[in-house]
Parts: sequence; structure tokens; C-alpha cells
Amino acid sequence: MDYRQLETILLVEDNEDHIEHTMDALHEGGLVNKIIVIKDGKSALDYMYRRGEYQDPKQSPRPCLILLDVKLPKMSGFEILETLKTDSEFKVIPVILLTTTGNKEDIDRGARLGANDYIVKPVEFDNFMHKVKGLGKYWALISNLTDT
Amino acid sequence: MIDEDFLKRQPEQLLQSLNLLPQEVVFIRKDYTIFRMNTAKIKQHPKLRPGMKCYEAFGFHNVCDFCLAGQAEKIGSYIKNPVCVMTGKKKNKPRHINIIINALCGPDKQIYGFIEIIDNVEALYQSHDQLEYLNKEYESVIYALSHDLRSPLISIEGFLRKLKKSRQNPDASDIFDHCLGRIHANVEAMNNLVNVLLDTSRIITGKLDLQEVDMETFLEHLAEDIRIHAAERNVKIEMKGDFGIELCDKIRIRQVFSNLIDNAIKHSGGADNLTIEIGTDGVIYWVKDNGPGMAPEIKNKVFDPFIQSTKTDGNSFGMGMNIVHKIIQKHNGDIWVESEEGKGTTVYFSLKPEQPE
Repeated sequence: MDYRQLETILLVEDNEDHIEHTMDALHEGGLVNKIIVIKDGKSALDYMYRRGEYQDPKQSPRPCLILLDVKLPKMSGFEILETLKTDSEFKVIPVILLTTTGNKEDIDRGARLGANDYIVKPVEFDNFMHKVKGLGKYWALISNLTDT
Repeated sequence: MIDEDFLKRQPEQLLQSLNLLPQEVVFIRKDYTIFRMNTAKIKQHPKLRPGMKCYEAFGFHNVCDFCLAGQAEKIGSYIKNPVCVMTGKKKNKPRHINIIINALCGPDKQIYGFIEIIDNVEALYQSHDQLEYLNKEYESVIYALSHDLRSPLISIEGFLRKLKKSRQNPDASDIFDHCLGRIHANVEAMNNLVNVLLDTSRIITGKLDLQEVDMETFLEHLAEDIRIHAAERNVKIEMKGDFGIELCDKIRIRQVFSNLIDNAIKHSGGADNLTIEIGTDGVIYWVKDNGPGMAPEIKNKVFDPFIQSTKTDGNSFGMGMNIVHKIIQKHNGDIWVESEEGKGTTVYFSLKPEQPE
């Protein structure tokens, strides 16, 4: 399958184990979208603004969905969220916050900054799809499900 | 009976008793003339003399607009007011006080004067500020802890599920090894975090084991240990200045230098030409590196608990600088950071432990 034809998901997560579990959950559920993993906040913005190593649009396609961990090195998830949601080019891209604790203040702060939804880790496929359906227009993900 | 005669009799026994109080006490006549003061008042305002008008203490030539004695006279009762006065030559040192002024009446209900009692509550204010600071720190620790303890638990849970799914698969020995290894690493990370927290708690609540330390020998040994441990990194450790004898808790101060040097190595980005200088000018110590330096936003909160400038490994919790700060605080010292991105970082500190009795 040519992944370039599929919608890309951007996963911004620094914890290697959590990356593994999220990828496992999404792939085991049958999702075949390309998932690009970025491990720190600054690089996430570099990716979105195509700076540095992410300058090539073919290698750095615009994501249709961003899964964004709250606690990241160099720049927090909230700082990234604020930057993206105040930028007219990126504010339409849905962002699902990933939180370890489900801390209410974090969730409220995320909502204020424009997060579309949140998932308390670990990411599980059913929960993920439930959230994606809630975002409405992103049927692209669902149409990419393989028969499992 | 408190009347004009009472004031005239100048009861020495009463004044002697008032002299024992930490509060400033002053008797003022109805015409705002200072009549008598206790020792605490004289100590605080050495230029005040009996016979002076009380408002002259504030540099006024007439009764102050905010005169509490006037208000007490008007309502015929006492006035209690918390006030913050700016003191010092530059009038920039706040002094929080509680002022109580009561009208002194005779049997005929006539007011003969006033008694003013000033209670210095600056220490209380400082304790309050300190408590607020500790409370905020406590909240941020709880927040970070809930994340840093839950994060490995989520990992462990994920690997256990993976193991469960793979248990029927005869070819899953690699998956088994991987999952068990990661579970072990996460348990170790949690254990290390708990140890860091226990150590932090011991620093806060424990006593320093003060002893005179020959800093030159002590730091040379430490530098040698680090050179051996960081041999593959080709880290250069230099000593600068004349290191004398320092009264300190040797184990804790070793922890300070070790944490600062570890940080310099850890955040150097793997550079081969890392040079770390351990220096002193006889009063201040420093650990200087030519590493990548800190971004201003990290520098400003570098001593906060659970602050990480870069992702290092699962056993780094961003508590190192917080522990360093606490140890220096425990030694009554000061600590500060100078850092510029691309130019390196220098952490300065002083030690002023109280002499053991």
C-alpha cells in the first residue's frame, strides 16, 4: 500500500514505551494510516512549520490528526497546542491531547487552548476511534481501516 | 485607675514590665506629645524622645491624616490596624506591623491620652510567604509525581497485555524478552524515583553532619572518580582557585558537585570537547561547563522540582537541581545560575552553615 495516499497521523510523544503501546493499539485495531512520531515539543513545531530536517513536504506531510502528549521535553504539549491553534493554517487540524493522569486542570487548560479532545493513556483502539468519530469530518481514518 | 495622675505617677514597675515586651509600647498625651516609651520602641526609633509629638516620628509637622489616635478618640475605643511600612534608607524594606491604639480614659470618661502598641509581624509574614512557596512546590511535586509514577505503570500495564496476547504464540520469545526487559526497566525507574523522593525528604527534614573538609583533596578525589566514570566521553575536569577548609556536610556537598557535574555531562549533547571547571574564589564555588547552555525559560525554573530541559533516560526525573538547591539552602548558602545558549552554563553557590554548638 502506498502510504503517501493515506492521511497521516502525527504522534507527539517522548516516552518510547508509550509510543510502542500506542502504535500497537492503532495497528492492532486495523488502522493503516502512516503514523509519524516526533519525540519532543520543539521538533513537533519544526515538523509543522517544515523547518530544519522537516523541510521536504513529501517527507513531512500535513497530518489529518495530531495526538499530542501533555508533558514533553523542551516545550510542553500546551505550548505546542497554543501555537497551532492560534495559527490560521493549523487551527483546523484536530488535536487529541494524551494525558497520563487525567488531571482535570490539564484537560480544562487543553480545552481552553483549543484541544478537540483528550485521551487518558494508555491509548486503546476503541477509545481512540470513539474520539475520532466524535471529531466528525475525519472519516478518512475510518475508511483506512483494514479488515482484521 | 488610668488618668492624668496615673500618667504623672510614672509607675516604674509597669514600665519595667513593658520593657520586657517585644512589642513597642508608647504612652501619648491627648495633645499627641510622647510621654513614655518602652525599650522596644526606643530601639526601633532611637531618635524619639518624650516631649516630641508622635507624628514627628513619621516626619510630619501636623497630626497625620491617618492618625489612629484621632480615630480611637472619635469612637472612644481601640483601633487595630495591620500596616506595612517601608523602612531603610531607600525605603524599600517592608516591615509588617500590627498597630493597636487605645484611648486612655479617666473615671469621668474624659480621654487623657493614648497607649500605642506595635507588634512586629514581619517574621509571621515571611513564614506565611515561605509556607505559600512550600505549598506551591508541594502541589507541583504532587502533580509531577502523579505523572512520573503513573507513566511507568502505564508502560508496565501495556507490556503485560502484550505478554498476555503473545502467550499462545510459540515464536514469541523475542516479544517475551522485550516485554520482560521493559517491565524490569520501568520497575527500576519507579524504584529510583521513590529513592530520589526519600532522599529529598531526608535533606529537608534531616540535620547536616557538619565537619571541616579539606576541599582541595575532597574535590580532587571526586574529579578523579568522575574522570573514571566518564572516561569514554573524554570529559576534561579542571580545578581553579585555592580551595581551603570548609565547614559543611561532606556527603551532601559531594552530592551537590556530583549532580552539577552529572548535569553538565548529561546535557552536553554528547560533545567530545566538554570541559568542566570546578572553581572557587575563596567565598563562592562554581561548576562551569562549555556545553550547550540553557534556554532562558529553563534557566528561570531550573531549581523547580521535576524540571527537565531535555529528555535523557527513564531514570532522570529532573530532581537533581532541586536537590542541589535544597542542600545549599540547608547550608544557609545562595545558589544561582548563569547560562547562555551555545556558550555554556555556570552554577555558583556559597556555603554559610551555622557553627555547631
